[in-house]
Amino acid sequence: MKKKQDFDPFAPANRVNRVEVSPFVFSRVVSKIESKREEKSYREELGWKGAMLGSGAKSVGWSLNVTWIFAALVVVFLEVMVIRGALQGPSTGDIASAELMGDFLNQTEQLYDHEN
Amino acid sequence: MQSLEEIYRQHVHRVYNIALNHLRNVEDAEEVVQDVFLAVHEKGMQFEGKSSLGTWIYRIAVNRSLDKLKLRGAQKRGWGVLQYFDVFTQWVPQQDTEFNHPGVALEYKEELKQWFGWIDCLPEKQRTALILVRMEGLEISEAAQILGTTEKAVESLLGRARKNLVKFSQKSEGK
Repeated sequence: MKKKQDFDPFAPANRVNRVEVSPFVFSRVVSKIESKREEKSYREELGWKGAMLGSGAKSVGWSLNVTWIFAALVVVFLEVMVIRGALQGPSTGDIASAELMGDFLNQTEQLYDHEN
Repeated sequence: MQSLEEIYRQHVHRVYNIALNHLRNVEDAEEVVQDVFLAVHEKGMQFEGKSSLGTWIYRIAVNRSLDKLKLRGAQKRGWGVLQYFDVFTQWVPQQDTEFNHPGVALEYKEELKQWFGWIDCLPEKQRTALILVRMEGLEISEAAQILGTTEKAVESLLGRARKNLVKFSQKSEGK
């Protein structure tokens, strides 16, 4: 049995040989770089198309918004007009002319009765 | 400025051996090599030149190897849970934990398998310090730069690793 002081716990490290890497690893690195580059350019292309589609969609959305806002304003305007019209009573001029018309009709009726 | 191929030829040997000594598996070590040089290609612009290019590359290699070890451990634990359910055992892939280090001669295989088993029980930094200094033959100062620490700290890590390995060997002899 080995004595404690003889035992070098790092000694087995000297029995591990250095190893050469397979020559194919570099070609795999290069192919990975190539595929990443292709993926990146494809994404960029997609991103560009997406951006174009996105801006188109944005403009469509913008015009839709304007239409809805305009329609809502028209509805509000009409409703205000209707409510204002309903709340507003007859003007004093209208009342006076109606009274005159009433007087005229009464007098015409009385004249007719008197003659008959 | 060096091309990727030149950088690869200059550093791949050490990167591969760092990964292999951490992972003891050829496929995993080759994957780490690919990841490292892919990162070098992608992040080459981020290299600030504060340390040498080699130190920067070996730091990436150490980090990727440790990440792979963690992933392996997590997968092991994950599949271990699944294996409690008989239903899953049919399709659960067996984890490749086989000792597959091409740098170990057949006559030393059993001895070194046990030794690497002890190394696996060491804390992460002690293990990396041991691999960089004792197995890769790096200078303490270079190992310190890779580990992002001081030379004294690396010496202390190696001292603690030595003590721990002695403890593990005594335990295994006591069995």
